[in-house]
Amino acid sequence: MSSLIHLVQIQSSQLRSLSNWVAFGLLALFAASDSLAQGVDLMVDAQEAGILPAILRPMNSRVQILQQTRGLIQNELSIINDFCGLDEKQKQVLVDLAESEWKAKTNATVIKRAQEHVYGMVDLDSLAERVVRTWLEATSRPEQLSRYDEELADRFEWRKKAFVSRVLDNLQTKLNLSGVQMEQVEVILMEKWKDRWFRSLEATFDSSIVIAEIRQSWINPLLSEAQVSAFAQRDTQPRIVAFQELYEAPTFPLDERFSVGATKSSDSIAIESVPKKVILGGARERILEELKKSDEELDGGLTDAIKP
Amino acid sequence: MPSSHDLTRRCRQGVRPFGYALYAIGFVAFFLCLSDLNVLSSRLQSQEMPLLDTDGDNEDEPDVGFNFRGALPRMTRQQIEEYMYGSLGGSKANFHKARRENIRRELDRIDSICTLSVGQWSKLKEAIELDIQHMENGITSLLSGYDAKISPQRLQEMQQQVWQYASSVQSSDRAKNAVWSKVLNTQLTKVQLEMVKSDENKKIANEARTMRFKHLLSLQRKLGLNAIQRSKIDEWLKLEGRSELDFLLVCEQISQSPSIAELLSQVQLQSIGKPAPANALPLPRVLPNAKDLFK
Repeated sequence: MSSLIHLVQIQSSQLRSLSNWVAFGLLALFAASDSLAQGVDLMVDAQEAGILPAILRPMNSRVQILQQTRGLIQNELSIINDFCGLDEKQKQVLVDLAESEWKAKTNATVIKRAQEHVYGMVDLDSLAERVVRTWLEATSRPEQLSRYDEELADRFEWRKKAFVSRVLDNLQTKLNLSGVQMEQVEVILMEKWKDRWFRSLEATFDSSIVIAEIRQSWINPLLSEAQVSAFAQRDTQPRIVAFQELYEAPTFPLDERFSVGATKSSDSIAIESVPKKVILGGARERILEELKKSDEELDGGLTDAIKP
Repeated sequence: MPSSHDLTRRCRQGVRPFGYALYAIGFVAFFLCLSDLNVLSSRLQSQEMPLLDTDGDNEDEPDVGFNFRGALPRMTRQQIEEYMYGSLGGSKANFHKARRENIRRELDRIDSICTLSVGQWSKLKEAIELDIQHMENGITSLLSGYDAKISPQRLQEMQQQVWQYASSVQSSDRAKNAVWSKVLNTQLTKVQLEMVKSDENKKIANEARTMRFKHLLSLQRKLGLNAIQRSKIDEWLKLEGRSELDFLLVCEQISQSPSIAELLSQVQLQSIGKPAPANALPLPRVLPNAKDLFK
């Protein structure tokens, strides 16, 4: 609340009227949030009872994201089927593990990442790749895993090239680089490469943020005086207000079973058409902490309960 | 499953506190609004914002001092000009400086490609000043219709025109028609022009490469490509400006290309033309609590 009051105070005198109205709107939202939550709860009940007309059903981006992430995971499972040479038993173990882990942990991780206020950290492609690799590691032999690793490494090379090309494009627009300068900057970017630069397709191609990490000291010696001056002027980063859906991600229904080739997950593992209740909200720091923890879990392996 | 009676009861419980809150907020908003109007009016009267007609020339005009519809105070011609330049770059001097630097960067690029002579630089420097003067004249001309009685709508239109003019001049397309650009073309030798053109092609090639990679990564995500498929599709995208196509067209052409189609699985081929899922998804039961975000 104190940050809100501060926000209102820093407005200029000409905008004071507007800021008061904004504060008023926020206060109204605060006052109504509990009632709204109840209202939404009621809408869900009404929808489940079949009395909410279809036209009133709102788009649920969270479910969309879950479906898209399942699509990404299913794509990875198909690649594993084509290249890793798993036998039928391994395939069954892998696909069962995928289904159980999705239900136990992965879907909650996706929901946490898809919240609006953590936009910019969303990289569901990489999340899908990491979880599938962890599952494969638990169910396959080293040589089978290494084939998948080769595939991932090749894919990352393309992403690296795509990122660098995009950065050059942005720098060209900003600084009017010559062809020779572009070649020189490209070499520098390849040398200074950091894996975190390519976070996702959206982060790279949809935002000028891609040049935010390029240090002046790297490229200033190559630039003219006017270019150095232009590069020093950093553009303001527009805040993206909502994370709706991924570009061109495949969708895979929540109530359809994962498969590796013709092998589907066992019927004994229940699947849900509606995601289970996930507690949302909370301070940004808390969310970030949770994300960090879930990253460690993803890197660390499977949930204890399902560990084979 | 809850009965309809149950639902109605819960609806009333849910809506009641919301209604009380709205009543209370309405009262507060009304008083806030009143106090704001007083504050704004007193600030305008105390000359914090520019006012017009202090000499009393236009006595017929109502003494409003603030235009609520256009959200702009009435200003003199000079003030409106300063205001316009303020919104374009902070001040007239800053605007000129930014324009000069923009052109200078472009000329530096040309210089690094084909090394301009002292004579060429001299002509170009004169052209830059002419160009800036030309642009300033354009803005002055657009503002020539301004007078104190101008309607808020017309003022907004004028603002819009100035913005459009300034941005079109600054964009690279228009730069080809700019004074400095014309002078540059007359000053460069044939060899220098060819060198510049060759460099332009490198820039265009990088733009095409960026688009190609974007399409490739989009396809990667959509279809789950493997290394061989990626490599082949990249080769396909390199041909005849295919990277410049819209992604949907790329998908359509790929699905119709025999050389690519034979590389893809049936599932992948189906995915290329798969329509988006219907908008009939269930709503989550829990909303984020707005209060928590500001703790």
